[in-house]
Order: sequence, then structure tokens, then C-alpha cells
Amino acid sequence: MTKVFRDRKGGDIRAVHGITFRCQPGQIYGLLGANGAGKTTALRLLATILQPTDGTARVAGFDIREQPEKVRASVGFLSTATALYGRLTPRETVEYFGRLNGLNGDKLRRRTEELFALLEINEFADRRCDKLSTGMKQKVSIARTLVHDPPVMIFDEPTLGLDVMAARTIVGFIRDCRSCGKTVIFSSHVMSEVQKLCDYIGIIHQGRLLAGGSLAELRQRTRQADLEEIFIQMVEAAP
Amino acid sequence: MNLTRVGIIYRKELIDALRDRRTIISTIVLPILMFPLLTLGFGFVAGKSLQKVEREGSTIMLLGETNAPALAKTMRETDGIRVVAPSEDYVVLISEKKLRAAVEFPPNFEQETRMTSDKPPQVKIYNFEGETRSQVAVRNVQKVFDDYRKQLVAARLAESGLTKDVLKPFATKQENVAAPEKVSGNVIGGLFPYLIIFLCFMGSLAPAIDLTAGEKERGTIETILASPVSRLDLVVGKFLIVFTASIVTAVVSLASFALTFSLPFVVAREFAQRNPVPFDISVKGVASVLLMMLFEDDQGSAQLCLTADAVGVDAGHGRDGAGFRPERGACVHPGP
Repeated sequence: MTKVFRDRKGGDIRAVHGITFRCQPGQIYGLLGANGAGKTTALRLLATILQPTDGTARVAGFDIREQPEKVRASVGFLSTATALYGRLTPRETVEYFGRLNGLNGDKLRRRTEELFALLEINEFADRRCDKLSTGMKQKVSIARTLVHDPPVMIFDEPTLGLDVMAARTIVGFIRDCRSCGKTVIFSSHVMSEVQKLCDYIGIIHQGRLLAGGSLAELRQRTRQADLEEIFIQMVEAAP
Repeated sequence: MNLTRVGIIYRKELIDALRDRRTIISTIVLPILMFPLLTLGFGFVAGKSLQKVEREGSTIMLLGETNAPALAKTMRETDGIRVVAPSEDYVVLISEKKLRAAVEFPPNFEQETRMTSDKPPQVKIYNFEGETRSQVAVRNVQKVFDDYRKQLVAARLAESGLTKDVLKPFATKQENVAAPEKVSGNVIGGLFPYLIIFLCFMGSLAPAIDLTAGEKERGTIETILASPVSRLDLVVGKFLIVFTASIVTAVVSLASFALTFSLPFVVAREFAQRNPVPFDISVKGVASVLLMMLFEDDQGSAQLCLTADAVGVDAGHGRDGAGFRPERGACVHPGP
């Protein structure tokens, strides 16, 4: 997959400026950048929540401009900002998104049960979402993104604001996605997380992709061992 | 547009809305309570203030009282008028609502009223324009003048050897031929279109905000935008929910309207039998007007009036109805 974007709006703000990268099934690609670097925008473009001003991308073989609905059907999108419908129960939430993805009847019920068992949601499956704890909500959010078993998973700062335990669950879940052969794209500004998880790392700064490659490649290029040092060096070298 | 997906969205939003207390209150509870509270509350407050005005009477001042001793005496004896001692600052007193009106008699008023002239004497009534109690005072004073004027006219006619009848060569009598349901249909038909528009807005406001700005604020919009549903399906599904809320509010509030007004009208009908004022309203009548409006919605409200006309509830002269002539108003609040 190749993604080429230029600025997001006709205005002066170029949130994402000519980013190109590629991620294969069974790999985790991490976008590393400071706040406001353009990570979220880039991921939203991929999830077709936003439309690129210029350039395009192919997600699971579908063009994000030409077939946005097909792209969305192949993507599971999870971000810190995404919330649940407070007045629905986890079961209703997951079934709603399942139906929107074209599942129904027995198939939907089976998939819901499967996910609820996997994520241990069953004990609170029929309580309203606004009565759940953050950890429970997180599980429901994951179930929601997974209901249609998408080949591509996009995580936008998924661990932001979570405690260690909840963050570990997420990190474990991201690893599981990789071992299932899914394509995973992930953004964060936490170095250790990226270092632990990602097969490939893209460093993004002011909307531009400064460098991309495996951790080993980045180390070689900058002659630094620590990812933080690599990041700082790259950002400081940027114009 | 994918109707299945629109249906999925509609169903979910419906469940969501039905669990939202704010939506339920603004769409169902408030419209039910609005008419009874409005009618009872308004009637109560209006009745109270009217009673108070009547009990207190209108404070007025007579200027140049010696010019019209007979009239001043009648004025003092009239119920509802309280005469206070004359003073120079009546303008200030009226402006400060301490005095309701001041009456100024010109010199030689009483003598001049006894003779005919092309320039009759003029009494001035100072008042606070637009202030309710001041207007009540003016009305009370005018009534005294009217009676006095009639007396004078009768006396003059008697002097010339004529009777009062000479002033009335012929009479007119207005008679209603429309059925009572038609008369009430006319009034309601004139009122309803405005009411419906207002009520539809009221009921759909809360869900409309919740479905758009609310979703954005809570961050749930990202999840739905990242699902394969098309933007059009999403908007249509949400629109239909808002539309449903409007219809529910309109139906519920009109049912409440019908009930609120048909109960007092049982009393009103009794009253109408004794006093020949035609007015009839029933739940069935209100419901039929509503149904016609719903089905003719797309053809605009002009059409709506015509339809109402055709089915027998005469809403054709909607604007007349909206005027709500006072003699019919008497029926809403029985008693003059």
C-alpha cells in the first residue's frame, strides 16, 4: 500500500504534508510524532473520516477516494476520542455496528458471543454503557471495532489516558491483531510503546514524514541506540 | 441510499432517544402539560388581576369639578370609580401609576351642554396609553359620560316633542347559520397551522441537537463515520428520527389541546344553550383537523385550509378564525 497525501484543507494549515508509507499484513506500523504533528489527521484520512485534498491511499486494496465505503468495511478504527453511546448496552452497541457492517441474524449473534467471550464482556453485556468503568468501556470499544473482523486495524493513540493495566490490555490486543495476520497501523507519542510494538516506524513532524523504516534501520541511520534520541535528532535536523 | 441501513440507524436512534430523559420530556411530557397549564395558569392569573382591579376600583381625579357638579356627583356614586382630591401634578401621578386617569371639565360645561352649538364643549381625559388599568379607568369614565350623553339627548328630544326612536330608522341583526362544529372548526383551523409549526419545532429540538452536536461532543460520531454506512444513509436515518419526534409532539400536544378545551366546552355548551352563541368542539373534531393536516402536509398550509373546508370543518377563513372574535371568546371563558 502506498499513501500520498498533501494538505488537508485549502487553507494554510497543512496538517499532513506528502506522507507516503506502506504496511503489510502481519505487521505493525507505528506513526511516532509530537502532539499536533499530524498523526490523527493521517489516520483519519486512512479511515476515510476525512478526505485528502491531494493524493490517495489504498487500504486493503481499495482506494480511499474511489471506494470509501469498501475501505471502511475493511478497517477497524479505534482512537482515544471515540466514545460509546451511553444509553445503549454493550450488546446493542456491538450488534448495531455489526448490522451496519452487513452482519445479521445468526452470524451476528455468533460473532457477538465470540467477541464477548474473548474480551470477557458477558457479565456486563446488558448494562448501559454510561454505567461502565473505563476499562469495561475500552473492551466494548474493541469489540465494536472488531465485530466485522476487519483485515486492517487503525489505532490512534489507543493508550492515552489509560492506567498501566488497561494500557497493557490494549498493547496485548494489538499484538494479537498482528499474529492474526491483520495489518496494524498505530500512532503514539510514547516512545517505549512504539519501540516495543512496531515492526516499522514512521517519524512524523509538522505534517511531514521525516523518516521511515524498522528500528534497526533508524538506529543505523542516526547512530543512536535509543528511540527517543533518534526522534529528537530527526526532529531537530528538520527544517 | 440503502434503506436497510437507514432502518438500522433509525432503530438505534429510536432506542437511544426513548432512553433519553431530556428527549422524552421535551417531546412528550412538556406538550401534554403545556395546554392545561397554559389555559389554567393564564386564566387564573388573568382572573386574579381582573378581580383585583375591580376590587380596588379606578382612582381618578376631577379637574374643574365645579363646572359640572351633576356629572361629578354621578361619577362619585359610580361603582369602580374612586375620586381623589384634585392636584396640579396629575401628569406625574398618572405617569407613576398612582393615578389612573384625570378628567378635565372646561368652564361652563354644564350650561353649555344644555344648548345646541356647532362647537360642543370638550372634556379631556388624561391617561396612560397602553397601561391596562389606566385603560380600565378610561372605560369606566367613558361609560358614565355615555349615560349622561344619552340622558341629555333624551331630554333634548323630549323638548322637541320627539322620541328616541327617531334616531333609529332601521335595525340590523346578525345571525349565524353555520353549524356549531363549523364555527369552532373555523377558529381552530385558523389557529392550528401556527400551533403545529411551533410544536413541531419544540419537540424536535432536543433530539436534533443530541443527534448532531451531541454526537460530536461525545466523540461517538467518529465511530459511526468510520463504519461503512454512507453519509447519506446516516443523515436520512437521523432526519427521520427528528421527523418522528416532531410528529409525536404534534399529535400528543393536539390530543392534550383537545382534552383541555373539550372539557371546559362541556360547560361552554350549556352556556351556549342559554345564550345563543354557537360553538362546539370535540376530541373527534380536533383529531380530524390534525389528520387532514398530516396528510396534506406536503401541499402547504394554503391547501390545508381548503381540505379542512372540503371535509366539513370550515377552516377556509383561517385568518378570521385566528382573530378570535370576542363574542366567541366569551364561550371559552363563560361569563361576560
